[in-house]
Amino acid sequence: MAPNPMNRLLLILCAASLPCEAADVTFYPPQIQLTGARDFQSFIVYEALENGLTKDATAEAKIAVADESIARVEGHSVVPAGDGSTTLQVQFADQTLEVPVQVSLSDQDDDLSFRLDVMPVLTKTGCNSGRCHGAARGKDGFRLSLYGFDPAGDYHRLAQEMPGRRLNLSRPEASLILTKGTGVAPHSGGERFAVGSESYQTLERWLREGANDDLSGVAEATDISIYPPEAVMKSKGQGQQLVVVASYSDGTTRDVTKLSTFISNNDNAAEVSETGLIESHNRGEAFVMARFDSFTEGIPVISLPAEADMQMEIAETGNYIDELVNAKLRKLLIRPSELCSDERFLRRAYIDIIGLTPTEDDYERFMADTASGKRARLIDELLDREEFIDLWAMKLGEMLKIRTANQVSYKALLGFHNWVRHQIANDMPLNELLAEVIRAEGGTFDSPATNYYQIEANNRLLSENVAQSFLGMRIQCAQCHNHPFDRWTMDDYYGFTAFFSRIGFKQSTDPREYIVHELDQGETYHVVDNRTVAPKYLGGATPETDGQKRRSVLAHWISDHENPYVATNLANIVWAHHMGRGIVEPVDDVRISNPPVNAALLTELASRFRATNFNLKELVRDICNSRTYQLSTQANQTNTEDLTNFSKAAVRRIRAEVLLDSLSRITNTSTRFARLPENARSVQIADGAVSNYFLSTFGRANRETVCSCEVDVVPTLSQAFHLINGETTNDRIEEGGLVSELLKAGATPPQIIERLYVRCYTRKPTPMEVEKILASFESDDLESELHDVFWALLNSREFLFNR
Amino acid sequence: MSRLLFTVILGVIACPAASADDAPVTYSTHIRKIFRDNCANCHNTSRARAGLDLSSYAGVIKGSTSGEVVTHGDATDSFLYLTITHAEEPAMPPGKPQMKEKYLNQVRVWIETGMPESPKDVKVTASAAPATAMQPEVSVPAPTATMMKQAYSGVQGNPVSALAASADGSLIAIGSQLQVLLFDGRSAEFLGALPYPEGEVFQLGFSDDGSVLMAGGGTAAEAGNVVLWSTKTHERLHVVGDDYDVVYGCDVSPNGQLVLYGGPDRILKIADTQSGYIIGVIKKHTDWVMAAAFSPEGFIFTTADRDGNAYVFETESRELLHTLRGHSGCITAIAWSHDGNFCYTCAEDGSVRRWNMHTGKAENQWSAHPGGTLSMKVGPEGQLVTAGRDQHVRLWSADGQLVAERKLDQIPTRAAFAGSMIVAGDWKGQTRLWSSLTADPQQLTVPAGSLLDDTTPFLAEVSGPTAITEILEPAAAPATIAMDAPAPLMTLPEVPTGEIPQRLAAARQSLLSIEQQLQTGAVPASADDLQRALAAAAQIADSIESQTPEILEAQVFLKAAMERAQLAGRATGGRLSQGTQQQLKTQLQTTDADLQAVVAACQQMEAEYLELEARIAAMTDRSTSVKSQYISVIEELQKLTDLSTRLKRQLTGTTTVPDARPASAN
Repeated sequence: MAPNPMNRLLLILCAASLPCEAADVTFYPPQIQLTGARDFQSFIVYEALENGLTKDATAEAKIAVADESIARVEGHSVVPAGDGSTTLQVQFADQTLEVPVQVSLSDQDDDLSFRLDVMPVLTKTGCNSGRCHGAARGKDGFRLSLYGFDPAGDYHRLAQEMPGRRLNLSRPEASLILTKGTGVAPHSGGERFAVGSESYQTLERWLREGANDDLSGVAEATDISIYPPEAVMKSKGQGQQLVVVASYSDGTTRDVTKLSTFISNNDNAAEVSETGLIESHNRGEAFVMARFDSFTEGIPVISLPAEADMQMEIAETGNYIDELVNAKLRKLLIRPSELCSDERFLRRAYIDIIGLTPTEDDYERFMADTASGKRARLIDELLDREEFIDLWAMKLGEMLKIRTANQVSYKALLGFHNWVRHQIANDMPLNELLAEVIRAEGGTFDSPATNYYQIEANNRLLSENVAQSFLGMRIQCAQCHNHPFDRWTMDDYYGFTAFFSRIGFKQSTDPREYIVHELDQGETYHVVDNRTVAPKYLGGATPETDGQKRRSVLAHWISDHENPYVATNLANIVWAHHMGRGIVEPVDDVRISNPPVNAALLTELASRFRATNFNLKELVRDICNSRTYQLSTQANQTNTEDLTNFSKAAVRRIRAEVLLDSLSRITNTSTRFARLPENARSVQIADGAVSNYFLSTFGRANRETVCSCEVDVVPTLSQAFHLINGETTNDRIEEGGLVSELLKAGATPPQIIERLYVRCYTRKPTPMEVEKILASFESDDLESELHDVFWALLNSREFLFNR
Repeated sequence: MSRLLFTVILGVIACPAASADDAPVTYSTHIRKIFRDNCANCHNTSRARAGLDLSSYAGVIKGSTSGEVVTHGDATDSFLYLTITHAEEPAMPPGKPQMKEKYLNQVRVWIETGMPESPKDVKVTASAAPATAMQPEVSVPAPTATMMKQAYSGVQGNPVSALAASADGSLIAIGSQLQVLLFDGRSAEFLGALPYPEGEVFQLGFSDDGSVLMAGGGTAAEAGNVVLWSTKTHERLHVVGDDYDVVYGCDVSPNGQLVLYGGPDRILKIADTQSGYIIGVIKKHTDWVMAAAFSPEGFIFTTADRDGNAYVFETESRELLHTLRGHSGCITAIAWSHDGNFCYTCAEDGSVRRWNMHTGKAENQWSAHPGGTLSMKVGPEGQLVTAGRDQHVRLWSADGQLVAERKLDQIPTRAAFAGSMIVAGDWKGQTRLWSSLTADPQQLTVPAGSLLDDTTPFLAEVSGPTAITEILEPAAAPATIAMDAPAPLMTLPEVPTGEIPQRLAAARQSLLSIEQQLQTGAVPASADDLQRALAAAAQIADSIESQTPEILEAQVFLKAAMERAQLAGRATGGRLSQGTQQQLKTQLQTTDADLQAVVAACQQMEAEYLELEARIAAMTDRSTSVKSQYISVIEELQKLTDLSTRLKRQLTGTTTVPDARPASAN
């Protein structure tokens, strides 16, 4: 992309008080607000090059203040001089930017505040981390709240719990908090900060000023902003300084870069220092986060090798999904792989959409079809099959933990499962389905969705399960303390739990049936101070629930198209099912520190999902029709190491139920499951507690939790041994009698081999394969030899894996 | 000739501060302090990381579970030295910057010069100052008036951390930063400040007659001890203990002989006040020891911890008598009824509980201060005063009826009786004195002109006895005593006491006869005789030299053992009958008498030896001069003989073989 001369012109003309974002250069933060004599604001000058790279240009830029009586530049910070407004003139290369600066109360240097000044130091220096005094029982009798969620309690424990022990007001330097923090007094935690450091000076000043708590009315942080919004760095060792600004409830802002904790989720690609300086290392991507107070924000960082070709283009196109996937791949300078073959596509689509490998007839038909758009037609066909409904009923059963338990009889459970299946079969919008479950009332036999509250009756666990399976978020941590890597606080946790605190149970005439109803009393209490917590949407408002049923209110929020989490979560789950990996992975662990690999893609999928009114089939159709879904698993030069950005298809072990069902069909056998008809497939098992050896060994979810990790597709030694020795292969081959049938019908060994290949691999064998197999025959007992061939095919990876 | 440096140890050597740079580096003078300040928090007797105990010389030599940490004479082979210089992992002390260069050097020099334990172990070279006989190393406390007329201003701002008054109420002591403030209990006048450079005072107590003031305290996470002052002369009488953290709970036995103390290391220590030796250690508490108190007669004592548990032990046997369970928060104070039948405890759970000391059961409990009771004392008529977090000071009858109360504007942290008056100190450092809680108080304030902002005078080292840390009893000794056969108290070293005086006597005899001979002008004794006498004397000197240290050690050990035995009435296997106890006592005394005799004999021998030495020296001198005279006479005679022979020859004109020369004395 050639530089646009119009942009340059625009830039020079752009001199208003709006932050000027030129095509190339930006100044962060977009405006500077200084309140009080102690305030300051560090800044960066950020350059985005045309080829996609970014650069930290702060050192080269020329910064000048228009009116030095109002503010001054010291190093890379702006400090107050006098009250008023002025601008910062930023010059870099041939561009000029103007940044507004506002200064007030420049002569005010109030006493330090415990909450605003001291608590962040305790967090930054690690005093209240989980390994140290933030542990549940503290260390050696001194406890602080984890990452400072309880400032009032922390003040008490520091200043009042043991009079005269931890603080010394007449000789501040002799205070235990300082002597231990600096390692002068023996301290298992070592030296957390040096004598004379900024942290030390803050604490010492607070002590000198009387070590007072704040009177009520201290401003609270409302959010933090992290700049720049992203970094794409080329060579090893390139640096990018971060700036973190916190906004407060009194309208002020504050530079909290030095008080934030920085983490990179991939040190191999990019590391971040204690002071917020990112340094690029090897090729890869990282998410660099800053945490201050209870807020965590992060930016994506891409590190490209020095020799990368920055002019790479991606020519292949597809639907909107491919556009978005390719946009990300372009940033990483990765090319997507080739399309997979028809045979591969056939097998993959069958396994993913209906949970069975294709039959020989399916194969013949598809391969014979020469009209264009046959893949799209196949997808449409498969979506109309009953097996598709069974597959998704199973997946929803895992989400809803459908399983017999102490209180849940099989009759009730079957009702629940059938209800779910029925809704899917009737194309009920998924958000409505979930909302129905939430608001369910009535008998567990007549209103099957009420079984959700029998399977799990504890209100805290209910809220955790709903958050995890419906919204994709694990809020468990926030039961005892604010979530360390996400925005959820205990207020959020208990606020969400409050929706489930009025569920009542009555026994019905049938002793197995319970009636689930909504009580008009029942509260949730905050664990820190036992106050009643009103129901609050997770990350949302506190709705009016007086005179209404709380669960109905919640159900309304769940099904609301405005709900930011449900659509994204469901779209992600469906994507993960077809791709083998979610855009957020694991799919039920959405958090700020676990960002989507392609946020734009996820947002678009979610918004289209909403637009189709949460129609499952349409979403599956879009995904399967994308080029990205149909990529080969073969890597090319650029994407050998990429496992997360969908530049090639993933090799995935087929999940337990699908494997067993396919095996049964291929060998012409069936499995008997408790309380299911003769030829039922394992996908149709309603009860998580029903399983068999094969299914358990191959990772069937038993639905004791809603965790997505219950479905386990990791290959293990037990699995290998079972296939080698167990009844599932050998016995079934004999029992099914397929080979003997074919021999009786007059088929020759090469023909039988071919048919076995088609059944197992969805492809014909190569001539060399046939030759080698025939050459391996040792006896004249064809049935036995062919059984061995069959056995070998079922034990191979080409069979067990979806590629 | 005077190869013996005969040292008499009269007392226990005090450890002086780091001496001048050219003084030889020894464990007691330099290294002990270095290890104490940098290492002993993790490497001490009760907490020995890697099995290494650096709090005593023996521990350093013994090493860790991996073996020796110091190699004699070779610092670069000593693991201890390598870790503190960060030449090897793990770098010590961990998590802190490296020790100062100066200290690393001292450790290196110490190892290379053979790790002497104390100055007496340093090999004195010939070039050193001539050794004079009888060089005692004695530390005698220099009595000085140590009360300051000014107080450190740090008393303002910090909570009052300790408060006590003498029984008659004449003297009130307030524990504060770096000092104990003394006030006149009647006039509320500020009398002065006793410097406490060890840090902050957390426990104060007066003896029954008011003549001794005890303070326990220290510097958080660094050091703690118990100091006893004379309230008349304001001198430090004793300093007991050298813990690694503050002493929170301490008390002196009514007879003044024992000091009981404990703190965050959870270990109760009982020390002999006079010598400072720790004669008993009890490991029962599972959390910080926060209070300790002897019963009025001292037969039993109660201690309490931060977890809300209190225990009652018997002083002599240190057996656990009662476990007082019930409090659900940190116990803040213990107070005894005057008859010793009851003991009160108060805690952060707000309650005060009264325990029957015969049954160990709680007889009464009441909520004294919602939020936490911080302090409690028993008054002259058995009434109680308490202070708590609800900002009240309350007066109670002995069985928990509220008599009076007063609300303060700050949380009162300490309360006590001054005679029948009530004194309380609060969160902001203010102390007030009430004749009755309903009346207005007098403020106990230091006049502004007597306040010093400068901490230097209060941080200066105070002259007086320094604390001892030797634990006489192994720290692993259990609080309850095993029912075994009594072990022998100790084995005395073999002393050939009979032989030496005899040999000395014999030597003296022969010397006397030689002397006599010389005096009577007889033929001088053969040089060989003198040589022999000298050799014999030298041999005797050697024997004495080699025996003496053991004998002296034995003496010291026995003395302490005797004291301990006396105090503990100790015999393994439970109580012994009075008769047996008496027997043992007599045995001990007899053995002691024997040993005393040995010591006396040795001393006598030493005196005699020295005398003999002097005589030999004199005789040798004399015989040397006699010898030289004799030789010159002989030579003269020889010359004359030669002359006369020549003359004779000339006269007779014959040549004859000259006579053999007479044997000359050599």
